[in-house]
Amino acid sequence: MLKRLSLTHWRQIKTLALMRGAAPMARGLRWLTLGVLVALPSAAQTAADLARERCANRLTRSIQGQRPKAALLAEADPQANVEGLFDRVFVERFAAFVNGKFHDRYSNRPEENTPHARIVRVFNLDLPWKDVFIGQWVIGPNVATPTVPSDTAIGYFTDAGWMRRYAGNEEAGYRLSSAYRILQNTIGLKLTAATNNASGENDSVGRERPECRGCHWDGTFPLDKVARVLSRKQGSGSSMKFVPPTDGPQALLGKVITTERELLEALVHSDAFLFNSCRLAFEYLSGREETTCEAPVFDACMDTLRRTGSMRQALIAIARRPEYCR
Amino acid sequence: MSAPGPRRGLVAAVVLVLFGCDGVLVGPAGQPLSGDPSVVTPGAVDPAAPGPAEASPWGTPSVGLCVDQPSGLTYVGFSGNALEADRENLEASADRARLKSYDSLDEIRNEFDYGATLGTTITNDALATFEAHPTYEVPETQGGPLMIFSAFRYGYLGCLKALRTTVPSTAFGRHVDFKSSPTLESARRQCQRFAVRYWKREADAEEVEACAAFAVTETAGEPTPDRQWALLCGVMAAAADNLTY
Repeated sequence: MLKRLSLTHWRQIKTLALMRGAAPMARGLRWLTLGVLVALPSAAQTAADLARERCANRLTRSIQGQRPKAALLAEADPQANVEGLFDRVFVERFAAFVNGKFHDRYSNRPEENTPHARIVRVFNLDLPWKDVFIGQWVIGPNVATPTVPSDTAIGYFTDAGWMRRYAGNEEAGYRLSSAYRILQNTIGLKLTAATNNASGENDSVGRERPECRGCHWDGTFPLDKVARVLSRKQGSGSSMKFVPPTDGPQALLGKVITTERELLEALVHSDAFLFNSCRLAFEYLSGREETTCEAPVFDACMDTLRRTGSMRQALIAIARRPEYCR
Repeated sequence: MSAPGPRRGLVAAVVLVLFGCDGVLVGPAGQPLSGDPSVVTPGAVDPAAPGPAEASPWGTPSVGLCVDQPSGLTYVGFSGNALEADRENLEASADRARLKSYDSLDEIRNEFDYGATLGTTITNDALATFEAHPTYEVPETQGGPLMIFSAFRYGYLGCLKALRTTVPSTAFGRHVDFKSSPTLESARRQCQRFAVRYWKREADAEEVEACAAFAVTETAGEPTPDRQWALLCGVMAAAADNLTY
């Protein structure tokens, strides 16, 4: 019988039932006004109903940035059908969220925000999440052709707008900004740039000084070595172009890497990449990183992303967990 | 680019602004925060009673530590480091309140059918106050005094309109309690009602008493019962439980 009630009626009844101390006669009159007769929900049912409403709120506002629709509020278990929330509204929002995380500042220019466009296509075409970073295709010319295969493309890292945005100003054309941005976007590396060293030299010799070389030459992620497997910048402004690297193999990430594709493949096929991706997913859904008590939820995300390659499924794995609506 | 999520203290901040400024919020050890020191919320903590060690000054900790840590997996980074090592030691439900977007003001507007009387002014105002997100990023909504005041203002105006309407379908206008000034009894009843409506949960006894005390003492200066009730309703609508999810 409850299923035949409109949601509005149900919510009115629910509100009435929750009125502590409301006169039974008043309740009865209101019910007659509604023209229906239903059993008064027990206190436990009412508490559960409110919990469901809070859950629907959390899900919809986190995933779509909107208040929940009536259909979801009417669900006995909003988490059971959470897939439906991961629609095009979500795709646009998630793409903007991740895009914002991948840049150092905001830009209104579409050509400087190609991660956004690629994420939209990955979701709409059900492509693997890693395609955002290493997909061998470029953005297509129209809706009918959303992607165009390209042997030379390496995700958005080879999009002209992105390359220009992070070309940097290194004197010899090494793209240090791009190198850092690649590491930050894929595995979440966080470095703090120093504007100068003690000698005031910012060239490759200056960057070998002790206060600089920790990030530029030594360790697992030496920026100068990463930049040496990327194309180099020549010229500036409208005459800027990029030429192939000439420095040969570099010792990076605990292995020897020669090309940008090798670099990106190594990064994307790592636990660090999956971990950073699930951190993004967690922050999107919860507004913060996972906590120690949420390790099992995070593990579910990692396992799903590893098995399916789908960021949508990874997000669903988090949103479906009981902890999410607790 | 957007600030990370934790908004600890938001609840306290919002409640402080909306309840506390006029002296009815019970502060540390049950003392009124300001105003008449004789106004002590019924059911408040006995100032003389010893509190638990390291208890929050607000009585209830806003975050809790993860006591029974689950055995999660370890993930190794390129440097051989454990990637999960930087996790905060908090329970699963800790620090979860996120501010709603400007949409929440729009929600209040819709709930009370603002459009018919106040038109688009409210929406534009709400957009400016809550800041709709730009095309290429979704920053976490940040709170501030203007946002809180706007939420209260729209809540108050909406409640007042609802209380004065003769349309039967509107939420609050027909209850017999609203025909006269709040009493402790009627305020307790309506506080619970507002809590369920706006907070999507039942208020606990302490919250009900604080709310009822506010209704009786702090709205007394309003000239008519509907304005008194609208003030209470607006405060409840602009409280943290409604502004966050």
